[in-house]
Amino acid sequence: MTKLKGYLAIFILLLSWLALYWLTGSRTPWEEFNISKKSGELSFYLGDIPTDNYDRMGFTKAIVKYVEAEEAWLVGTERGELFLINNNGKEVWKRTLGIGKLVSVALMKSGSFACVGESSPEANLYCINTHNGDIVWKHKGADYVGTDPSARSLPAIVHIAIDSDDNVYANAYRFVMRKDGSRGYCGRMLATDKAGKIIWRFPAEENIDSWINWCDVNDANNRVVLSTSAYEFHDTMKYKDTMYFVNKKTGEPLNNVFLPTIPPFNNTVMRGSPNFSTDGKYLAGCASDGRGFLFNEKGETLWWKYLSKPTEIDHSWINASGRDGFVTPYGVIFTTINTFNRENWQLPTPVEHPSNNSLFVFNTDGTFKYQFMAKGTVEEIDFADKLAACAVGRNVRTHNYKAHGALLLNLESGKEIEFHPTAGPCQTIAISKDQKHLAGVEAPALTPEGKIIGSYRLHIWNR
Amino acid sequence: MSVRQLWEGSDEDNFVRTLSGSTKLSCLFLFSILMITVDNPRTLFILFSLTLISHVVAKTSIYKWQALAVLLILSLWGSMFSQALFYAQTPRTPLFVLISPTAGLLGQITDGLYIYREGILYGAVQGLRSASMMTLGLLICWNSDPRQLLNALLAWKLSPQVAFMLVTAIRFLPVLASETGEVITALQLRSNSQSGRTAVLRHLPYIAKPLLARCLRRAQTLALSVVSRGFFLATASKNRGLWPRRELFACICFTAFVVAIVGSKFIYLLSEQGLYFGFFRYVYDWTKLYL
Amino acid sequence: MLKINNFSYRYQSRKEFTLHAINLELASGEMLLLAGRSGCGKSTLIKSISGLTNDGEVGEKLGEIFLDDVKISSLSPEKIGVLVGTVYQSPDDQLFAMTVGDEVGFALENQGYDEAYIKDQVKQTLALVGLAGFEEYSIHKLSGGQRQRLALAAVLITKPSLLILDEPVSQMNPQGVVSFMELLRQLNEREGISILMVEHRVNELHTYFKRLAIMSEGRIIYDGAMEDAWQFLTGKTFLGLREPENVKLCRALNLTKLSSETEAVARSIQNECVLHPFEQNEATACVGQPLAVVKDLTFIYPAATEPTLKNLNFTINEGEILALMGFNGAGKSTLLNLFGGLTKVQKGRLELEGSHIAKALGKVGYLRQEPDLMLLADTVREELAWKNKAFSEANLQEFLQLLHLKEYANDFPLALSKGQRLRVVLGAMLAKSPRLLLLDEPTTGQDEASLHSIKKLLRNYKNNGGSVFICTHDVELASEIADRVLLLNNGEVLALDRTEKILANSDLLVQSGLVGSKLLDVSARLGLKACSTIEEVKKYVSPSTVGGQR
Repeated sequence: MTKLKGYLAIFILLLSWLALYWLTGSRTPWEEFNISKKSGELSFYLGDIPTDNYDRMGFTKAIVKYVEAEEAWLVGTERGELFLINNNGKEVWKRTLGIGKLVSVALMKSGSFACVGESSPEANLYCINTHNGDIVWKHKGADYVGTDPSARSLPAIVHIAIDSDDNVYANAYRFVMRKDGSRGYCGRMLATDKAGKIIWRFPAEENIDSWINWCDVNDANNRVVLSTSAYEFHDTMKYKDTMYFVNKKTGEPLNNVFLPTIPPFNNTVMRGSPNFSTDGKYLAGCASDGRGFLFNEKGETLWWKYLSKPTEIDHSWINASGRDGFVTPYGVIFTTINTFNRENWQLPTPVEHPSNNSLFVFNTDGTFKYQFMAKGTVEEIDFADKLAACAVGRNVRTHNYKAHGALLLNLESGKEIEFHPTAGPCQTIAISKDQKHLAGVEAPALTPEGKIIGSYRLHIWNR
Repeated sequence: MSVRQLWEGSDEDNFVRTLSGSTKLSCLFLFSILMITVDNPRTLFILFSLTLISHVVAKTSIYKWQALAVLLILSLWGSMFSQALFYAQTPRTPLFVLISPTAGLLGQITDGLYIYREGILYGAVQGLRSASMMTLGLLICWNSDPRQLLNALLAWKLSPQVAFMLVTAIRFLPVLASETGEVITALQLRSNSQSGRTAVLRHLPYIAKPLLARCLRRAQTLALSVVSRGFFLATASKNRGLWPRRELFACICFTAFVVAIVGSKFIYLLSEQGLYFGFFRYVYDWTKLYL
Repeated sequence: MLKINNFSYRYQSRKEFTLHAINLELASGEMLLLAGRSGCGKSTLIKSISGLTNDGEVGEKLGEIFLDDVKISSLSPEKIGVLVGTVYQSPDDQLFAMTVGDEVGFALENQGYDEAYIKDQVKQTLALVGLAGFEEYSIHKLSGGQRQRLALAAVLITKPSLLILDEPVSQMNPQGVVSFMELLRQLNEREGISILMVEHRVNELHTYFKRLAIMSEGRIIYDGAMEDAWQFLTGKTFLGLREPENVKLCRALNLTKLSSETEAVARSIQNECVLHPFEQNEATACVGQPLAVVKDLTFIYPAATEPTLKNLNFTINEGEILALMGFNGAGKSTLLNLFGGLTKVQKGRLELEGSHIAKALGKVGYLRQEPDLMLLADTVREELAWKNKAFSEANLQEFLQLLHLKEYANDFPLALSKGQRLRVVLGAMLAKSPRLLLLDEPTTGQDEASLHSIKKLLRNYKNNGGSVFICTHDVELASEIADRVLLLNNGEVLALDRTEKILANSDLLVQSGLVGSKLLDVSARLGLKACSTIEEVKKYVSPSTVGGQR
């Protein structure tokens, strides 16, 4: 009997060995739970991050860009890590960039270098060699807009634009909650050349006392535009206009544009736009009050449309904020996000606004082409010729968790070509120029029911 | 085979036995560093398999294999099960629900009990580390003359007292094992109930005292015997420094290998902390893939 | 060779001196037996001679020890180790290598000799101790006796001129003792090595030594010829020495001259006593009811090819002490384990009071060979009452009295003397009032006084209706307490009969690996019926009126 038990033990050891073989080695690079592959899709675990509440404002972010030269994805995370991951899910390189969250990215023309902006006590703007991850140069945003970590007032490089000469234009910005409860803003645009030398600052000697969330640059008209998006206006504020135009070479201010408000709003802000057309003739902007604008290069309004009209239902104003604006060969594109309550973003609304979570496409003459409504907010759009890749994230009104995923739209027809669902909200997206590869980052979320859905993963879909 | 025989060194003439004490201890030390450094489950599995193969090469007897199997099964599955149940990191994917959060009072107290997929792998990694070291440790324990190990420790200028204490522990392992068996038997015999004669676990806390008392006496005798046979003589250290050239060379190579592994891991960890250098990219790749 | 000059030693942690003004000389080639109870300072004396009190352990020293006229205090322990070889009680504790050859060569290796020389010396030394050709053997494969020889060889290799042996035979069976002592005698005679042996089993060793030194409380109280020592020992039972049976007989018969030699004793009896060589009525033992019944009992170990116990049939009666004797490996321990419930009965019947032994284990007390391993509690008091709810305070006091442990009630059991430790365990067994008490070699290493207490305890237990199944090599003990003797040989019952019948049969004893009592020779020499106990001899011999009470 004892003998039998002994042999049984050896047999179980053998089985354990086989089990361990299976457990530890199902996939190269042997991190089964970091990478998973389905047909045409693979996902890469980006590390552990705090799970945000599903209905929270300022949700988890990530950045992703396709680097054609490396045939790989440049991915930045909230953990401050930057990866280059190829289309097979292999990590080409990975590096940690300080202690902040990586919030903005733009590639230089050659694709060999990328500029990455972080949100941290230092708010560094890094120029990274995409081939090996080396830092080529960096600038500390905190030197321009200040920092106050004790008051949780951290600066960030919120948006980066790069022109064809590889000059970099970046918005450094810091939000301040004052002791009396009022909001303050410090913003500044930095322009550097390819080597990282500061060409100019805008404003040259002071900070913009408004939230500057977006900028764009155009080679044809030599202009840089930055939009403001301050929620609160004060009489003492100096920079109250909606858009500021600057000479991209000198940093000289050219002109400002103020967009008149419409009731029930007190101001008009732009958070995800405007963007120039490639030829520099047009500028598309989308205001949070639900209006889409097409401007000329100087910011003069050519036309504007209501994308979503604020509507009063049961004594509360509901609306779907506008966010992105693009001018593409296939039309002028505006997007709207979730329905919100005018009183407070997080207060419930009785119904979904019929224009929320949509793409509106117009011809440059202002004629309406179509509206495409996604099931959740389109968090980001990237273009490859006539295809628009949309990261579909949360729908905080319907809590439709099946809405999350990557959506591929034909801009010509306005039809959905593909939809790749993800468990958690898809927060960012990019598509390769040859349209063969698509990548998005999914974030984990804590639902109001107390369930965690999704995880922090990069998904790569090879078409 | 008695418990005592199980812990006695093998007299089989195998290559492990003929290796010098310095080689064995160096390998054990370097291997332990390797096991700590490596995080990759498959590499750990390969290293674990290597330790098992070393037992095959050393012709470990079937009885010792059985004992080894029991120890390994306990350590591996124990680690995997405990981690599968109590894995706290995210992401974690429940494979099975043992107790549903809604399952009455128990469910409320525990907030649900699950087997987590990631926990199993994490447990396997930890289990492989301890199992590998146990396997290699037993290989050396079963195939070493305590004298060899003592010589090695002394050649490395370890204090004779400390070295002697370390090796005495190995030397008395067989005796300790057999006496543990004896004490358990004694406890069974002194128990007040009939069932007590088989209830070993209940009596385990009482085992230490008589064993310790005897160990102290034994260690003293051994020390006296060894001292009077001139172990600490200056001439005795003459032979201690001798390390067969081939083994020394192999150990140097192994050390270089381990240093390289640790170095690449260190460089990789630095890169995680922001000290990233592009020309180390292949080191990072290699470390990420295999370590 | 060795000269101890007024040597005293005090450990730093103690107030009193452990050794007091020791004076002892040992000539080259001399053999000396140093006897004394445990704790009398023998071990400290050995340590001092080995130079192990020179440094490290700081204590106070007076006087001097000389080795070949060199002061020991001027030598290192290693240097002394070359001159003096020390062999300790348990060979297991002093062996350090894995193979016999390595172990023996260890000392020379430490002295830096080259391999070929060491190999040659190892070969020679092993031949000297009767282990020729064992060089490559694992030390674990050796028997107890062989290990003791190995321990001896390990110190002999340095060709010491003095060999110190600390109770080397205390764990050996009688035949092992004979063979080991013969070896020592050869070494002494052929190699001229002086031997200092510390041992209290004088009864077994007296024939090998001409000189005896007795130590008590750190002093040498006797140093003289072995044959003269008996006279000195008169009235000194506190020394705990086991005297030869012949000497005991002399005392019992009040002979004028105490001697251990058969011829001398027989002559004295003839001269001083009246013999009654007629047939005495054989005493008929009062036989109680059968308590344990063994029927067709066969046992085979899982991996074995042959059964360890073969078809055993016997009974143990109530109020009876049955001695189990035989060669090592005859199956004695297996049989006891079956009785004790440690091994399950495979074939045949083993019943206690009519029920299967497995259901009656609560009625069996089992004291195994190493009583120290059965001590578990912090005080003697707790030990006696261990897991015994029925044991009252009154019982406890009664037991402490009976065991002579009253003043040690609150002492840590493992810190007591060897005899006291055994009594504590035995007391704990008896406190549970078992119907059957199993004892496995209970007297190994016990001195006379302790032996006396144990015998008394067992008789007392027996008189209260208890039964004892005792496994022992000690013929003297068996002859004194056992009602019957069961001789086991190769798993089979060789003989089972009344003690005096079995122990008087020299052939049976030889077949069972036992050494018969010297009294058998005395009774044969006197032309009496074979007697194995003094009491039996006294049936045929009236005590002398010449020698007076001793």
